[in-house]
This record gives sequence, C-alpha cells and structure tokens, in this order.
Amino acid sequence: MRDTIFAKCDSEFVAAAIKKKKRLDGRRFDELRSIELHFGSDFGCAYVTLGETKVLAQISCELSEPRNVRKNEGNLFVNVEIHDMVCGVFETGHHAHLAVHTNRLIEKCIKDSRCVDLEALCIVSEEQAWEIRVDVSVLNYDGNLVTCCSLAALAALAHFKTPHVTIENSEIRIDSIKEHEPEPLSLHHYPILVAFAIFGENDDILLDPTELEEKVCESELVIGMNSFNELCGMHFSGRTTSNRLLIVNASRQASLVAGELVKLVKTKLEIDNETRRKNRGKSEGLVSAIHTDRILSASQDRSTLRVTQREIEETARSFLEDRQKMKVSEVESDSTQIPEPSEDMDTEEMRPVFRKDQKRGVEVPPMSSFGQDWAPSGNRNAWTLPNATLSDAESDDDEDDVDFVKTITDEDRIIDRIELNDSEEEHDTIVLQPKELK
Amino acid sequence: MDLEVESDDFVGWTGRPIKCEINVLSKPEGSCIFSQGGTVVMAALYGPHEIKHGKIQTEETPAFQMSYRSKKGPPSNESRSLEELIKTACESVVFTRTFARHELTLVVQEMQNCGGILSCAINAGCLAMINSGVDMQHLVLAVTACLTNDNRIVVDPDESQLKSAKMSMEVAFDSELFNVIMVNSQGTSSVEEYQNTIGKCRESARILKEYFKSVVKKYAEALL
Repeated sequence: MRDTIFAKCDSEFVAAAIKKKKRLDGRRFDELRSIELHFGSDFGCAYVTLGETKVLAQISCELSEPRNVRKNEGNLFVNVEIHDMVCGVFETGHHAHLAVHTNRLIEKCIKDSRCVDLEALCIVSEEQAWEIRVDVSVLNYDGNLVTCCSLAALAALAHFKTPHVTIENSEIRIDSIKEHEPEPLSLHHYPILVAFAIFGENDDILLDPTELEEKVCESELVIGMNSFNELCGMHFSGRTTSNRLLIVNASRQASLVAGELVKLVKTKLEIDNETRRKNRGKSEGLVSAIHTDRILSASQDRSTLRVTQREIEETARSFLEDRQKMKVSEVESDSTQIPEPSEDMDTEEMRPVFRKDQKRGVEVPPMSSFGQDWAPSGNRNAWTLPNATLSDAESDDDEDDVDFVKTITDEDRIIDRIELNDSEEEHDTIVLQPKELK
Repeated sequence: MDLEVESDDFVGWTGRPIKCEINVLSKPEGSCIFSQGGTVVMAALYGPHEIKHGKIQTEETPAFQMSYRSKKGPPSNESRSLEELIKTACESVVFTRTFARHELTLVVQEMQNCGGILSCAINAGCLAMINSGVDMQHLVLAVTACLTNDNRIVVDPDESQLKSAKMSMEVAFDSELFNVIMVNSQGTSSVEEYQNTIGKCRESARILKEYFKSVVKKYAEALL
C-alpha cells in the first residue's frame, strides 16, 4: 500500500474548514479522539488506541553490566518499530525517518526526563544492573503517533514489574514470579507527549491531529508534559509563526491533557491490580480488547470527509431554536393557529440521528465467545452459498479502495505535489508582504 | 464425517474459547484481532501492491510477503521460523498469479502468548485474508494439539498443558478436502499416536471452519 494520497481539494477543504473553526471529524480544537488503554496479561504490556492510531508496547528486562560512565545505574532502551506497510510510505528513507523521529521524541520524553529511577535498577554496583527495554510497535497509523506511543510506553512502564533478586554470598539469583512477588519500577513522574498541528494564519492550534491534518498543517508542535505541569521536552517543526503566545497557550493545553491521560493510566492500573488480586495474579489481558459487538466498517465510518453527528446536531438545534422563536412570535400574535403535534413529530424523527456513537462503527448484535459457552444463533443454515459468491459479495465493499489506488498514477502524484508547493509559496508571499509593509 | 459438522452449532469444539474482531485497522485491506484462550494475535493483509525494487516475481516464487513480529526485542530465530511456517500455511491459499507484478503482504503481530501462537497466527491470517476480499482457493485452518504423558490427546491446549506434554504439534488444513498443508511438531511419539493426533486435529478443523463461516456471516451483513 502506498502513502495515503490526499487530493489538493481535500487539503484545501481542510484548511478552509479550520479557518471557520471546524474540524472534519467534528471535534473541537482542544479535543482528543477516543482513547482505549488495555493492559496485557504479561507485566509491562500495554495496547493503546487513539482513534485509528493503534500501538502496542512491551517492556522486557535482563541483567547486564552497567555502563562505565555510570557504574551505579541501570540502563533504559527505547525502540519504536514501524513496519514498512503500517506507515504506508513506499519509498525507503522517509519511513525510517518517521521511526527515528518518533523514537527520539519518546526517548526525550521518558529517558531524558529521568522519569525512571535508573539507580534503583542497579543490583551490585559496577557489576550487575537491570537493563530495561521498551519496545513499541505501531500497528496502525492515523496521525499523532507520538501521543499514542508515549502513552503506551508510559503505561507499560507503570505496569511492568522486575523479578525479585536475592544476593547470597555475592551470587545473584533471580527468583521466579511464583516464588517471590515481583517489584514494580519506581517512576519519579509520568511524562506524556502531546502533539499539536498549527495552522498559522489565525494561529489555530489543533490538539491530536489526524494524518490528514498533519499533512496539511503549517507546523507541528510536540510538547512533553507531566502531571506536575513540568515541561519535559518540546519539538517544533515546520514554519515559524509570529505569535509568541502560541507556544505558551499550547503548553497550557498540554498540561491539562497530560493530567487527564495520567489519570487514565492510573485508574486503569488500579482496575488491573484489582482483577489480578481477585484471580490470583492472572488477568484476561488483551482478550478484553476484542469487541465482538461492533464492526469498523470501511464503507462508511472511516471516510475522512463527511458530515458529522455534531454538525447535524448543531444545525438541528439551530433549526429547532428558529422554530421555537417562530412559535413564540406566533404565540404572541395568534395563539390558536399553531399545530403542536407536528413539532413533536420533528423532534422524534431527529432523535435517532444523534444516538449513534461516533467512530465506533456499526453496531452489530454481540456474539458470544466461541467455545464452552457458545450458543448457536439459530436453526436456519444461511451458509448455502458457495465460497465464491460470498467472497464476491464481500469484495464489493473493498473494491472502492482498490479502485481509488489504481486511478492515481505516479505522474498525478508528482503533479499534485508540485502544484501544492507552488500554492504554499504563493500563500507565503501574500502573508508576508503586508507585515513587511507595516 | 461428523454429525456436528452437518448441523449449524459448534458444540464439538473442545479447545479454549475463541474470540475475534474483523476489520480493526484502517490502513490495511484486511485485518483482524483473534484470540484463542489467552493467546491474542493481530493480523493485517496489505495489497496487492507493487513489488518493491529488486524483487522479481517468478513462477517459482509467488509474490507473498509475510512478516511475523514478536512483541519484544529484535527478531529472534524463533520468530523467523514461525514466520516461515505461517508463510507456508497462508501462501498456499491465495491465487498469487492473478496479480501480475503485484504482491501481498501479511503482517502478524504477537500481542499475548499463552501457548499455541502458531495456529492462532495462521487462523488470524486466514481471517485477515477473508476480510480483504483477496481471491482464495479455500480457507486455511490451524489446530494445535498435544499428547500428554498418559497418552491423552488434548486439542488446543493451554500453556501449562503444552509444557508438560510429551509431544505437541500444530497442523494446518485446507477447508475443502481437509488435507494437511503444514505440520510442525515437537517431542517424541509413535507413528500411530502421531497419526491419531492429526486425525483429532482434523476433526477440530472441521468445527473451526463452521466458526469461520459464522464470522463471515455475521460481518458480511454489516460490511455490505
């Protein structure tokens, strides 16, 4: 699969919508997408989904000799893995760049902010210390990789426990988890990276940008924050903006978001601890991350450009308000002529529109897990069709995607890019000239 | 062969409970998250997409890329051997030659390993292929079984049963004739026991096929 191609009209539409203070998915500028956080049954495993961006983090540890420079400290490695296909960038080079960039940002946030107490990892000075390895694998990419990865890494670190170590006659023995209760890592604070997309002309700051917004925006800002409102890393790329207060405002927002996310990690950890206590240290883990009662359909709920529930809600509300105003005015003028039941009908018709949850996909009846507690769905055997016809029926749905990929050739893409660049340059000159004149 | 297969229910399944969700990722053409007991795997099928430079599709090597990713550390020998096994099982199913100069990429991510990850990965790969709508000759169904020390055959055992087992094997079948596509076994057993175990796996694969059908049936309504 190639890099997701966004048409010029798409990006222009996004920019135009943002000028009108609207986002395509209907979020406010300071709103995150829906977050899910699940802990695995192994210690130090966290699965985070932020909208369509999905990430799995796993912590592992092994004993090794500490570095010569710091002989009484353990070591921490961060590794972000993005598969060629996941990122969707076909050409080599750029993909590696994204992985390295994310890796460095996570390293900045977790390692350089000294959130993990490395001295506590040392067992015998100059001889043995724990080496902690953070592996983050990106499963799906739809913008704001850094928040998703840093949240997963942090949650996994908070969840991780090192096995207990006993020292007898200068001999080090690692106790198995069954013999001795493992010890959690000591974390000084909980830092989280928060990403913003900045659309410079009106200084619009968008929290948690999607892939499309990341591509269209003028500059990206990543701020590392912990729950004590301390800054632990910042990255700014793209064109600079004139407003000095922009970054201050963004960091204020970031501190709020970081506080919320840390709260989420802590509550989820408590729930996990509680279930482990009840089930003798065992938990169902990531099995709970499988939702059998919904389907994320490619046809409808994943299209990026669409009229959102919020928009419908807003228009419906304004419409209703208008009607009410009319009604009031009519009441004032003549109270007998209003047909009241018709309005009730209207509201009833509109209600189902709001009910459907956004980005949660189509609801399907829950399916009981297959196995011991399986209940057959019915007697009728609907599987009378041969395989071929069924796969045809299914592929109907996916054909749209495939067609889309086919119609765009290399030339188109190159032409698109050239034109885009031109237009950006034009924007530049238009923006800069009046300021210079002043 | 079995009466249970003819009817529409899956009472015959003696293994761990199975759970799956299809179409979980937005980027790949087909994807699924699949669990058997505590073992959880995510599979994604990308393509058909252009073959990367330097690789030439020949008659002998159909263009099917497979990558298995364990969740911790750099790829080990174990994960590479798993990758090869999953590849042999899943590759055989697809009509790769229909896509001239294009290839398919299957990515399987380990999420939680509580035993039987190979069969879980193959089943997940199959569901991802079903979801993507790629032309398939038949389905591929994988079952893990082990032979305990008192010569009992356990289908789809959990981690502790696998550890204490005399012999354990993962077998993949096609869904039409239920011929063996791939076998991987550890430990020792007599030839007769080995064949019996494969026979048991085959019975379970038939039930598994019914489950796959029910998954497609359930999701086809929403996807259409």
